[in-house]
Amino acid sequence: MLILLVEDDHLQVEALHSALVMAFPGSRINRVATESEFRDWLSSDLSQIPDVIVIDMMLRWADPGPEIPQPPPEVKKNGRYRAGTRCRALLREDPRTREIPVILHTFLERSDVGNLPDAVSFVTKVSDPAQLIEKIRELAG
Amino acid sequence: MVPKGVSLSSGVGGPADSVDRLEKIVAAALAQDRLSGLSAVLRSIARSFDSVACILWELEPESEVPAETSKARLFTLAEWTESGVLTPALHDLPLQPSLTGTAILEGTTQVANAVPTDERVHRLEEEKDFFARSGCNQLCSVPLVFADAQKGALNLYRRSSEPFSLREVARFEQVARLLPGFYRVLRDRVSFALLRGCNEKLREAEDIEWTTEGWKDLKAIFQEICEETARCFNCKEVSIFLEDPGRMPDRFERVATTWKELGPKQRISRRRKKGLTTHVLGRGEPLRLFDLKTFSRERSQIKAQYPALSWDGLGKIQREVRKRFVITPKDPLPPLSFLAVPIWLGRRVVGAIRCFAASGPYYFGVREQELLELLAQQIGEQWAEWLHRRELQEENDAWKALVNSVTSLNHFVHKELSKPVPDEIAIFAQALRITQSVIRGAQLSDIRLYDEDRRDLYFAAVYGSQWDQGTEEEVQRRKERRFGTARPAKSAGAWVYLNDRVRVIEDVKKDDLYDETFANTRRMILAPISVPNRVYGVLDIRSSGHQPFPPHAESIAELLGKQLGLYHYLAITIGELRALKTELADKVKRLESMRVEQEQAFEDLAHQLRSPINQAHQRVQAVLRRFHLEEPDAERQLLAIRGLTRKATRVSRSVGLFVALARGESLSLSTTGLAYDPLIRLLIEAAEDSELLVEPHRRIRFQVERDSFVSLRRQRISVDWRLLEQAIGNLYDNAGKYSFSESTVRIFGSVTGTKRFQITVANRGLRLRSEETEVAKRRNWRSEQAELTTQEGSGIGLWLVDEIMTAHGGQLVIQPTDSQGWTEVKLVFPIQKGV
Repeated sequence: MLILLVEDDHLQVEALHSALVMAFPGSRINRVATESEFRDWLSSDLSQIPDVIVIDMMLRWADPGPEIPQPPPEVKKNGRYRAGTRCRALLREDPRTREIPVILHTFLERSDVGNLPDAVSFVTKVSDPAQLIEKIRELAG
Repeated sequence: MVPKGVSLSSGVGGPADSVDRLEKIVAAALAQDRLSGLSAVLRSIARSFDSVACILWELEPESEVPAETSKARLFTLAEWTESGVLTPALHDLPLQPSLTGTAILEGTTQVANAVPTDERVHRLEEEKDFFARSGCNQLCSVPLVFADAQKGALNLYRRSSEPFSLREVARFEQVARLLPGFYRVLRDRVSFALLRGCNEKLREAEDIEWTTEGWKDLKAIFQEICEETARCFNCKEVSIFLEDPGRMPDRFERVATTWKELGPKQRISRRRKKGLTTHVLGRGEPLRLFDLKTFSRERSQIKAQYPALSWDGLGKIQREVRKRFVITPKDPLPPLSFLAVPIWLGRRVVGAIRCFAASGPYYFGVREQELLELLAQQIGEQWAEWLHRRELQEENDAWKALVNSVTSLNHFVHKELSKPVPDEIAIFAQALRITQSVIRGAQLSDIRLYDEDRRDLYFAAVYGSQWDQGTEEEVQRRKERRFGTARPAKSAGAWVYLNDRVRVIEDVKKDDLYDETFANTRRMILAPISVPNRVYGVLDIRSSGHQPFPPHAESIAELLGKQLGLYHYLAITIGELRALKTELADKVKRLESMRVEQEQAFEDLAHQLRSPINQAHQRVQAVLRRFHLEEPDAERQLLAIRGLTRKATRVSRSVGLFVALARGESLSLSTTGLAYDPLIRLLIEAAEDSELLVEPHRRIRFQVERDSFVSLRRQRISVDWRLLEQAIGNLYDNAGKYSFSESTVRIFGSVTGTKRFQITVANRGLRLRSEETEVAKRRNWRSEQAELTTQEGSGIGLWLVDEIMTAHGGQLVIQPTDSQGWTEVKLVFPIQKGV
């Protein structure tokens, strides 16, 4: 199974990585750290389609660097706070990724995010990743 | 040649007597200053020749002699009789057959010494009657030519047994030939005196103010002019008619007359067709008729000269003249001469001056007409001046009244708008009352406002008793009328609303867009109620009277419309502001309550965070220091835990500091001396923690340059250790977040001069612009690039560091150093004296 983690906190990735590998032996975990990287990935040829995508809600646009990619207007306007829902919407627009199960993974409560449709999978971050593993199993297992 | 019937005897008096008599005649002539004075001259002549009557005859004007002798008539220019009463029949005579006519036609003196038997005299009934009544038995007629080439004769009538002698006739001829000259001088003198007199009187009018009393004074001046003119022309009636275009257009009021018995105040309408004066007023041309009695007989000749003239008032005039002169119906009337000239104001006929004579001289010549025209011009100029002065004064009064009214209205509006619920209708009613008090002729007024929902105009306020006239149903229907505002405008009100312009309707019947509300309305002024770029409605001012609105009414209406627009705008805006104020007060109250709740929550949260994290941190620290860990990953995990707990401690402390500063409190310090070893330990441990928290793939290193801090050993610096740790942590945190990959964050210390010690954190990464270095210290400020490249951060880090440094008497300095992206952030502490 190929799991794509869209997460900008490397400490969390580190913890999740070992938990997921243990829960899904033989699976591969790929990581995307920023929203601009995610958009780059989505516009590539997608030689490997993930079985499930776990997306953090608050994502920075890019790493600091001499040349920061120019953000689209909606990113400029809305910032990082709901980057996860933007990424999910992009996945739904692309026929290649439309059917991939997506889990929004965040420290926020579902009620904090606003009116998310029931169909959107949502898991609040806690110290024990069991809930996330359960949700991945449910959607992609 | 000896005139027929003249005796060759010497007659009365010698040469000395003759000179003496001539001197008396000349003296009498020179003493006269009005035309009636001719009679006095004639009396002097008659007495010089022992005569009982002397008459100066003139040939009827425009008669050709001898071509029209059959029709031509003579009329009396002046007369004197011993009895003082002239036989009415002798006011005018047919030229032929009469002895006087013969004298004129033949150009020779005619004398009849035995009238009762003289066939030449007794052929006319008029003459027979005169001789029978007066008892005269002699007549001497000398032909004359007047200065205007008109022919005439001077007749002497005598009761004597002695015939006219040759010398008498010769002297009479000499005297008679002087008379045309006298007459001309007298006319010139009279003309000059009249013009000068009237001019002086009219000049007096220049100082009269426009009041009811002033108007009476002006009319008195016109009356004096009429009387002076009547005296000058020796005529029965002189009347002045004037139009007041601003008050009563096309109506000419008789403002002065010498014949008051004519009846009550007379007004002539310009639209009337019949009448002599009407003709002059309507056509603007002078009218001069020798004898109205002959109007019917000479109609064709008069029509040729005045084609539009129509008149049938002879009967009335004859009745009035008989009454006035006590002439019985049996006796013939004297010639009834008429002269009227128009009075002009620019290109408009605003009046006429009319003269009517029923006594000698029975004739108004061209000269009299010209004189009267000059007088009319003077009157016209004075009338124009008067109207202009009145207009100015009225305008001035109206503006003064408006200023006063608007000032009191402003007080009223201020009072009304200060109420919790202002009554805008009361403001409108007050404004409409003012409208009617400052605009003469305004009888009804109202305010129509635009209804946003229905997109039409409705009556918001009305003023004037007519609004409530009619049945209850009619009144309600009238007040509930609506006027659509779709383009193109279908009513005058809609036009004003759509174009934001004043519309003056002089005659509602001629205005295509007028939409009747009152049947008797004649004229209207409609002004927009507006502020710049916004029209709220229309102010209507209506009048049903004859008087037009004064010229300044349009400007006043426009100003009132703008004033009303401003009031309406203020009422709306103040209403909105009040609602907003209430809403804001509620919000402030809610926010204040929330703030208190949040403060308590933050405090509680900070406490809850700090306590367990501190303990965890201390324990990890103890483990790391006391035990050697063989498992490399175990140490890394512990270091990470220490970094995380240190960060959590810092975050919780940030919350506490934030709350304290938000309350307005200053930071309280608990200081100790800043020693080298603990500082290095703090800097290195914090560097290790920060390095571990940064993304490994970015490979950012923190390097503490220990040697640079050696100088600290010789200095004495007091710090609050807890706050220093917070400040260092915040700077490291920023350096970790904003540094470029594979760069090193350098930390070094230095002493500047002798007064300051500084800890510098230098990194290469996102760079602040020079103008942002101060802004960056503000609370919640974050650069655009920072927003894009961090996953967290509230923007209070540098603000807190700045507050901490200020509390230490130090400074936070941010310096972008070069174009490679290096930024130095310095914590500058003051060095204490005495070390």
